[in-house]
Amino acid sequence: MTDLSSTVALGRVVATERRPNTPHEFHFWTALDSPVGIGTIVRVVGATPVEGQIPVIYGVVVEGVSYTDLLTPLHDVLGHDGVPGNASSAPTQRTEIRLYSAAVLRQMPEEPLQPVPMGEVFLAGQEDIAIALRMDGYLKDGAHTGIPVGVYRAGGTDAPIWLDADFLVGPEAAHLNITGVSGLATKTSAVEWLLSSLFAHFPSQKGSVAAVCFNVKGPDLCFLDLPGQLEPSDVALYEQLGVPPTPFAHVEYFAPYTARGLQLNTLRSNEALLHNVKPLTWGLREVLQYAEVLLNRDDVDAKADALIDFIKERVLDREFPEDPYLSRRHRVQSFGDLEGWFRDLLRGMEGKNAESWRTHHIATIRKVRNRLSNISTRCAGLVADHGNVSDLPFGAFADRSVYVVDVANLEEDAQDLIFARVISKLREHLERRDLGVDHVVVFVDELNRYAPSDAPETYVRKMLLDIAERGRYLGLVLFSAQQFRSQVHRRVVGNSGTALYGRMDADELATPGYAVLTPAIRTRLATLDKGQLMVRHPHFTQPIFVRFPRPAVLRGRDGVERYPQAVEATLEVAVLRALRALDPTLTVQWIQDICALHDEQDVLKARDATLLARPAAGDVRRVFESHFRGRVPVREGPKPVRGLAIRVVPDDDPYGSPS
Amino acid sequence: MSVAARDGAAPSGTPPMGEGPAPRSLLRAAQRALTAGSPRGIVSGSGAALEFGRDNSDRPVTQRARPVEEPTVRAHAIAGAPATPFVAFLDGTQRSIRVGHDGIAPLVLGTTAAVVRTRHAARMHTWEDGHIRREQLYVPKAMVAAGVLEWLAAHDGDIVDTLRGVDPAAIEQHPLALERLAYDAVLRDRERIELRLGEAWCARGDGALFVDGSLVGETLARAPNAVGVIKSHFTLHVAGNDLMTVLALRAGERSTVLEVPARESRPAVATWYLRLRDPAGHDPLWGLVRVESAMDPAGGATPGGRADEWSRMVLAEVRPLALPDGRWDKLAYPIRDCEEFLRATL
Repeated sequence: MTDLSSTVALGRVVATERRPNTPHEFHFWTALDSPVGIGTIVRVVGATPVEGQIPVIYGVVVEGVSYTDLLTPLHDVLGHDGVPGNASSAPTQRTEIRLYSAAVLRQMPEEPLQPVPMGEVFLAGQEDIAIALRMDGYLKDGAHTGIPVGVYRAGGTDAPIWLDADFLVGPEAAHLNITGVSGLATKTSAVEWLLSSLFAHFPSQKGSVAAVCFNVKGPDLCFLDLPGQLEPSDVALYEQLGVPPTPFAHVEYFAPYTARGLQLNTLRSNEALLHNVKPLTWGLREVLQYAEVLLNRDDVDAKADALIDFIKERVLDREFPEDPYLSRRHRVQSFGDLEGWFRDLLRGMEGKNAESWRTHHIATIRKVRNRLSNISTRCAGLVADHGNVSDLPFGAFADRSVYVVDVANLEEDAQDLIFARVISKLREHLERRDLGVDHVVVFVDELNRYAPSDAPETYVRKMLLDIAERGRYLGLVLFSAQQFRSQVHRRVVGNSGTALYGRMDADELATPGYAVLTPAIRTRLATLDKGQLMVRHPHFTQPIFVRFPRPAVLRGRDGVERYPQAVEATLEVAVLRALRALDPTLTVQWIQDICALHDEQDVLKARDATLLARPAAGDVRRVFESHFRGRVPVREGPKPVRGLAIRVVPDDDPYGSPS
Repeated sequence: MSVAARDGAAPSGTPPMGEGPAPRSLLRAAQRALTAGSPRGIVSGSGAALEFGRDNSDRPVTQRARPVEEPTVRAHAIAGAPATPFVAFLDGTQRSIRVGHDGIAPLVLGTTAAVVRTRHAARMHTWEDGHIRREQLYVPKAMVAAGVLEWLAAHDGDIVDTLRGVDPAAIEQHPLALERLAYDAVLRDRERIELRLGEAWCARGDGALFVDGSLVGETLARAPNAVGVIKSHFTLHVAGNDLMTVLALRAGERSTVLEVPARESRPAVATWYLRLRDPAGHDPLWGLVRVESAMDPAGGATPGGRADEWSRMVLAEVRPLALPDGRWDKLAYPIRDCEEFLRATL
């Protein structure tokens, strides 16, 4: 469809010796009331055929100037006797020009590549934009791989802008990075919108896709399954872009427990929302695989590393054979078991005054014991002493599902451990093609913290670099966000095929990475409204500004108001709240009776095991109670009978005393 | 469409106005005609502009005019804003380029143009039919080889004979004198197209017309809605004490209305001097213009009343300044706009 705006010339190409046109840039003027602005896409129609074809050039406005015939501002001062108000009495306004510079998006024909010719300039219509941005190549019937990112609006043109799924999710390119100042809800909103769009438009021939989102701060991602409030303009955008204005249909939340272990450490702890919130708890085996995440180089030298490897291979999850230094056989399956093994071993060595055991020096053994034992304290709530594991459904990921891992309230060590393990597991399963889906989008915010450019190497940064550089071959796609792109590792942002920019901080825009943008584009970036983005995509030769609808999910701020976080409860209430998600008929009296009989740790262990087993509603009581050793409740004994004296002194006994 | 294009006044084969290649093509055609049509033909490089004074009017003279408003010339202060401002502005220009010589006979490429620019919402626009641009070769036909003329005729060259109407006995066999004839012919053509546009405005235009320079032709000289504003003062219409009075005019004052007698091509017109800006620190003619209007148009107002209103309208044009033009003390900004338009399209 060619709208009227694209058939009426709104400008003319001009070129001078001092300001010539080139194959990549041209200049044009417009009327003063023209709707052209920075970011507007225009079409130039040349006058002279080249090889029998009239050249058509598409460009995006990147700079604009206006000036009058004044030689110096002083002339204007003189002309109005130094009184600004006098200007309004002048019957004539000075001749004025609006002169724009545009960066070439595409030339048709593409060969020979020539400087932009003189010609008339038109607003680009919807078809023009598809050609200019090379979207025509991936929006064809039967080979449609477009994912709408927003709409381009200028001068009456209202055109959807599509990203190419092959370049967003792979395999051609992949990954997406978003930059923008905090507090405008742009970054998180854009990702939520884009995931909706991806789920709605991901081509069936490319397989299935799911998302794993790390909620690293606040409640931003805690209510993705609840509907938010949309303006009619947003609904219209959803309709235009073919995305249902609904929240995500299938969302699962995962969060570790608080340090005490009574309730989940998440802002989504309201009882009404617990049906799809699952605990994230790992045992010794899961943690030891990623011990290097938690143990820095100062902790783990070659000797300690060797002992940890020994434990992983020879001690963990197996019957440890009799040993002269051990008083009994050990089967280590939890941090508690490991501590018992260490204690027994060290006691044995001390008893025999031994300095080493199986080539491991006693000092190394003490050090490793100290560091590993410390992990369960540093990552309390995530790492379970008892060994129960509750994890993401690796191997059973569902198509178009979102898995949110809430790490917002965790210590840095625990966050690092979660990142490392979840991402490693995703990679392992994708390599084996048994994750359950073909592609996984991993969303990580605050890259300034997790992949900084100027900090020492960390395990998490290595993992992020690994995804950025090799993930696209596996179907592991990184959607990342940060406030300061300039301070994120270059290889992470450099490998992001698609980059989105929300409103930017002026200081950030002054860094060298933005030198390729014109001052006008930088100014626009510094003043973008909510819901506006600048998009860079491999098919687009220049950045494009788009508008996207607000996500159709409940905003984090609204969510915590509507569903307040549950207060830290008593043991009975916390366990009942967790189990009622499985069986709403459970009673307070029942749980109180059990809690009265057993230790807190045993009750929590039983709760975790029950939640992991997820029995049917009618079986919850039985499964939960089965985790306790049988105990006879204390019963009151028979009331003692007041007996008679064994001996009764005869009345006539002269030695007896009266009773 | 321009008047020229509509009337077919432009040489056939000349592309529409504003297109770049046309002047060069006619220049090239004339250069080819010289080299191909005459053994004596000499081409003047890429074409050089002729440098002459405008005409005889650049010699300072005094032609006293009779006061019609009052017996002696006095100063009158002009106060207040005009009832209605000017709507349209007329200006013209020309360019004369020496193409070459066939013997002593010069071939001159003359381009003449004029425009009426109207003002809407304080912005200047070209009046619908208000732009004429013509390009012709000015040649003393009798002194040029037939081959040159035939070549030009074969290539649609529009030729003006510079000897037409000139007494053969008065023709000097001097290359510069012949160039002067061509130059004057170009000037006359420019005045003609200015006159045509002025007449067109008087016939169809709506509102007051500001003409840059003297009113030419009978239509303009009698028009109730046109004034001419003359910036140069080679010809003074006052002398003696009257001149002293005029030179002593302060900013916003006009002189008594005078009558410029009829001349060959136009009837008598009313004229007066008007000081646009304070001349302190400048020469006595600084900021001084002479205004011409119809002598006795219908409407019944006195000459002085009409002069006051026209003066208010002219004084309203002192803003914005016509800088960076060096004549900004007398030049109205809309006329500078016309000049810029003509410069861009010549």
